[in-house]
Amino acid sequence: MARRPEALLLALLLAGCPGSPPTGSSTGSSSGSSAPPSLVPPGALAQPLSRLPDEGPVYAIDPLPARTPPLVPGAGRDALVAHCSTCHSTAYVSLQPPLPEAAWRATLDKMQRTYGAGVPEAAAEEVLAYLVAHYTPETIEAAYAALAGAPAGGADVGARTYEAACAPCHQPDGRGLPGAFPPLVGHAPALAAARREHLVRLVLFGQQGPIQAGGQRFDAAMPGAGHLTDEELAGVLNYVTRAWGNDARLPASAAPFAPEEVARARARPLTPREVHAQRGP
Amino acid sequence: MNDDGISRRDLLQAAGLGAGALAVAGLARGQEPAPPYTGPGPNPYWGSVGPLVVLPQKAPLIQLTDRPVQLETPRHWFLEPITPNAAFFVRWHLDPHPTSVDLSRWRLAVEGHVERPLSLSLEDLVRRDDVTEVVAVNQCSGNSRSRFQPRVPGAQWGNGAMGCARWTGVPLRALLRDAGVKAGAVQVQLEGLDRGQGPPELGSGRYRKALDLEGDALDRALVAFGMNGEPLPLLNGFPARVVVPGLFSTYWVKALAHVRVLDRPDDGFWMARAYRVPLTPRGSTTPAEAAGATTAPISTMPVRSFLVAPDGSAKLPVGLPVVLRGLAFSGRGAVTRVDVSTDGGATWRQARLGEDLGPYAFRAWSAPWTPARPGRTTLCVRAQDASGEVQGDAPVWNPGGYLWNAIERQEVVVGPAS
Repeated sequence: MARRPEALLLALLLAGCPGSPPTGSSTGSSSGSSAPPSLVPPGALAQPLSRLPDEGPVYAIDPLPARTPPLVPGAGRDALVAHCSTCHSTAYVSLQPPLPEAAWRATLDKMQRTYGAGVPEAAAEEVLAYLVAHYTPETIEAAYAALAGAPAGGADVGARTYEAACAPCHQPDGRGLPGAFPPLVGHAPALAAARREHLVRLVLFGQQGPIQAGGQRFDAAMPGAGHLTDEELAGVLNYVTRAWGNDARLPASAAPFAPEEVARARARPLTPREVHAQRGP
Repeated sequence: MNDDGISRRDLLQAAGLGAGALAVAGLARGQEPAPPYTGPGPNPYWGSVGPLVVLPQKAPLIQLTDRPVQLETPRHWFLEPITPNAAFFVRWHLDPHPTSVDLSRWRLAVEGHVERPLSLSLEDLVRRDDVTEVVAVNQCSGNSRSRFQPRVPGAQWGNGAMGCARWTGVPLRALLRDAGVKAGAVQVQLEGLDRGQGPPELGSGRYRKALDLEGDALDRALVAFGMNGEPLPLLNGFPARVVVPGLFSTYWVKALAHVRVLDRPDDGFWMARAYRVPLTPRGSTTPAEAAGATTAPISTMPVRSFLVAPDGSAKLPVGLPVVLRGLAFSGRGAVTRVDVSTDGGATWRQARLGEDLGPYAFRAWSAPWTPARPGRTTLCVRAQDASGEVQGDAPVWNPGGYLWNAIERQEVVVGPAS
């Protein structure tokens, strides 16, 4: 595919320049850890870096980043994320106009009967109750006011980053989705113990290629999250290696991930396929 | 106030330093994030309200959804009748959709009710001697869905789920002729590489659309591998997609893999259950009557026109000429006339039409205007096509949010010049 020469030149200069600026946007570093959660999806301003493709017959673009806006907090949100994310991100929910209960009920019914979503009846009722509580003409303004004003505290930077950037696929409970998204429960501390540097590169640059996780095989591409700051990525690595009982599986000698560790890895950009090839034994 | 007419306070505010300007930490004034929805009233903006995002091979576009990807083209790209590939809107139905295609393995299968099934590489398509070109508008069935009242669920597009490109490819009829359509064939089914999660028996997990073998839509259809003289971006259907001038995008199957001749009408999910419109004038019905309405697959695009500039974001000084500019198109024959109104539709005058790029292309139009009085006024535009159809003011409503083509309006403010 044709690329503009100046873009190529920039890519080569940056690739060969240690300590060059991060590939993501430079806007992230100003968002202090006390900032309220943004309504702009993470990475909305990220600027991907052009890289030269290989010379073979495969025409590829990098995995597409998840940029899912946050959902209003409330009972039933986890059920919605878990069941709806199988087929589509929850951006399909948050972009809808506020709809009356009958319209939400009809939409869930369409997903179930017309698309065959296969959501258990109890979970579907939980999802409907959540939508009616927060996403109707009567409730949506208060719901978004609560979202915008939600104290950043309570959850640390890692938990917040996980919820916004990772949970849409790996799920709020870290169990992933069989056949689609690998579980982090059990898997994340194992990676941290055996392939620590790989884990940092994985969240920065993404990965493409077959892997084993939790006794299952996965062959989906994960997008990189290089648009997040070093602090956010270190935080999210500390979160996923310790949440959901993972702390008990982490070797006692394992040091927390530090922002400097992320910064060092960021200076040497890789493609998602290179991350896979270099993941180690 | 300085002598040059610019006050220190204005400058401070412009730099985001005015009192209260930093409502959100780290964000300059005017950059405060908006919620990702509009409603329950109609979307008041020209486009949809998502953030601008950058994806491979694309300029910054408005994100509706991230998985599968839906991106809308911002308004200013429509000042020209050809939409650049990087700015062209994106709408996939099924996740995952391809981010990688191996051309050593990709083959277009022409199969089904045919004498000689074909398996064609991209090189086979490119080297044919019947490669041709057409300039045509590709518009999503749900373009402008966010105008509906009451609002309907679905991708909440503003006006930018459309684009016009010069498409290069092979006539679909020529491929069917090479394969030898057997007697008794009625439709040709098109299937892309995207893959959904729905249960196989429902058919929702494969994106399949069908065109009638009889009829002029198929006469115009191409299997296109070129877009504005370049390969298709992956997000727009590389290596080849269907192009059906005059019909809505739903038939323009991306990352095409199968051309399947059928000996009975396609009763699959995407024809029998999705993308259907009431068989009423303009496809319009009411919430009360929708459930009982007889429906048919959506097909030809009705006439539309758009005002791109002025966009209302700045005041116009009285007595200074401006140029109203925009685009028009129709799936039912070339645009023959565009009229504009600068008084909210009370009086109309004819706009000048730009270059004719073909009957299925965007037609640029322009109309000079010198505002005579300060105050608010509403600009309107309406088009007429060769079939005689003229845009009207009545809204469209159907449960799918399809076929919107009401007259576009733009409120502007005229200010004093001294």
